[in-house]
Amino acid sequence: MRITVVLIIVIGVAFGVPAVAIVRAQGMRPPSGDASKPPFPLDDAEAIAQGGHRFSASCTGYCHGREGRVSRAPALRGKKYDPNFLYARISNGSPSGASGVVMPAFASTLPPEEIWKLVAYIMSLSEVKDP
Amino acid sequence: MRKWLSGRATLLFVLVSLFVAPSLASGQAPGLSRLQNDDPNNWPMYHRSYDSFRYSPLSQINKDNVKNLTVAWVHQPGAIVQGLESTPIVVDGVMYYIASYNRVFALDGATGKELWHFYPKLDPVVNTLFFQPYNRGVAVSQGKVFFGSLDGRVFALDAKTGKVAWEKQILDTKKCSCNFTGAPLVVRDKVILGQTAGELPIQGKIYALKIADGSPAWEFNTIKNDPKSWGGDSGKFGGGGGWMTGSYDPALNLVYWGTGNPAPDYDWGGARPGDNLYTSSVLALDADTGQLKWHFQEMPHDDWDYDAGLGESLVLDRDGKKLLVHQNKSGFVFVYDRTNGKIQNVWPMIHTYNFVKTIDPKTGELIERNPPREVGKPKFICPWIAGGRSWNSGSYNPKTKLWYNTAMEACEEVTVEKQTPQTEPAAGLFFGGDQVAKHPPGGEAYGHLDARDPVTGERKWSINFKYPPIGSVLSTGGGLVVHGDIEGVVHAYDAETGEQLWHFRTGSGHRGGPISYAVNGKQYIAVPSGLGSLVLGLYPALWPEVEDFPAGAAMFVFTLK
Repeated sequence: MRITVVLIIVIGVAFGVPAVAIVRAQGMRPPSGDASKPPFPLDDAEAIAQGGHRFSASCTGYCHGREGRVSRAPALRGKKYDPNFLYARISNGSPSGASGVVMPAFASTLPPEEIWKLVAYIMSLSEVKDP
Repeated sequence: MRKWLSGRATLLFVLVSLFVAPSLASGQAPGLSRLQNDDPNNWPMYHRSYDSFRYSPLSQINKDNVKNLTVAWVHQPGAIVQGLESTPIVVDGVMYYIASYNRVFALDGATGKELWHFYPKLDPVVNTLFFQPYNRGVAVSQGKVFFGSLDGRVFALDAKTGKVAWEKQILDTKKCSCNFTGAPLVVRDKVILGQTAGELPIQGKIYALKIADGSPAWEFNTIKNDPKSWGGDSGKFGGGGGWMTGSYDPALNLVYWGTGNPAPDYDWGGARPGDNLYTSSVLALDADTGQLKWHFQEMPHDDWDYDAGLGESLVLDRDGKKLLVHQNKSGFVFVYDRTNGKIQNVWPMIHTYNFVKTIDPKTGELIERNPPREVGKPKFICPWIAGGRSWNSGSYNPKTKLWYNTAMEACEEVTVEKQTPQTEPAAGLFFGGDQVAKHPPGGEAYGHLDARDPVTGERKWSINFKYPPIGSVLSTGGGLVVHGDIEGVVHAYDAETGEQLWHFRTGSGHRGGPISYAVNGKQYIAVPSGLGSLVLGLYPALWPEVEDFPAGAAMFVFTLK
């Protein structure tokens, strides 16, 4: 169940459905206006490093696992995400997870730039292949 | 093995505790005796009694007939996020319990029929919090049901109707990102509870409110205002708090409360100079005033998130000494003289630790500390951040004189990262590092349920679990030990031998507290089932299959066929 949203995104992207429409379909508040545009390239090394620093300092051991490894929350390594989906999910959280796992919303504690750094970091994990 | 009180002396102590001591306390309000373990049919508070024994004297269900246990009824709260972490209360045949999102229920204890429910309208800020949406329990006294909410309020509900009698906003949750998740403790005319704070750049407190109207009685700041204890401005962000339920000694009129860890959890060297009082400490507070009578800091300058906030402090008398037995998250058990906080013994529940060489059993001093301090360099530490035991409670049976308690033998790799505390626009998590679970050297991580002498640590029996258990334990006058594992099986063991006498698969793992009670002469055992917990997020790194263990939330109640 907990990967349903991700699957919907993946399928949606595959069939050309805009991610923002998928986000609305999932009942999440989409990022608005300028905030939805990353202020730097998502492959920017410094942004990725800073995002990784914040990721590791936010108790990932309890949640997504170190560097996005397996945990009760979705593992993030080796998966391809739409950046707008990641931005919306980090901003708004997942308050009613049927899987029994809840994700907090970070929009009230992190400015958009910091959320985009997290997005950049998670995107950087997509090519990671664990042995 | 030391001699125990004679049976006559024990009886005298019980009688004194039940009838004399309460009357000695000043300002006694009606209802105190109900909270004093006076009716074996009830489970009137979180740990059942002020001594935190989690022991039911009922014996209708016993070693001989437990094989005939069957389901009497099941109630589902309809919210399964983070499972079902609470311990129910039963008073005069009515069960009160709280589930995720602060859903509170009153049920007929014999049939499970819902008498009322209360779903508070929670502030959306709850969705931004780290500590949510679980709650560990309510308190019931003088016709009211009390709980602390996810958005920082304290509620008093009419126990007959579920209507709000009063509610008070105690915490500025939108600002502090802190809240209440532990069960309150009622002492005479006050309801006492502590807040979450240990992973946040704030100052955590313990609060006492008057149960009549919720007006403030006292509060205790777990961050001492002392530049020697907190260098620079680190105390402003010191964390602490007191997120679980304490114990009470009516004769001394002292409340015993464990405090949370300092923030940041990990110190890169200079993050919080000093010993960081009163974090990771046991406090003895005057129940009337909140004044500190004594304290003992179990983890001075805690470098590992081994806080003292978990669970019970056994209020235990032995050989004429008034003792307090407290489990620290490090896996070590601290035994105090509860009149003055002097250490009587310290012993480990676990075998797997390297955060210290040992702890001096005479002084409580940490010998040869091994802190993770080097920024960016992973350091292997045992036990893991979930602790040698989590916040789930053990159970002490005064008949067998054994403490039934769980333990976790697991390690971690900690990587310390420098972090600037964030307080605007709201407090952000302040860990100062990251960790990943690891197996111990030369073997697999595991857990165990032990029967031990609580003062000496001497072990009578032990049962191993592949996955470290995180549910609380019940013991009964029928010679049973009841405990649920994370695979969804609740077990009943022989209290003397550890032999399994009965088991039942509830379909989801166990994190809450089983209890026993009786209605109309019939004994019941209630078992909250529903896997969920922050610490469960650590497990899949060791056992990937745990990622898919089913969530759930259901109150299973058993009785004899």
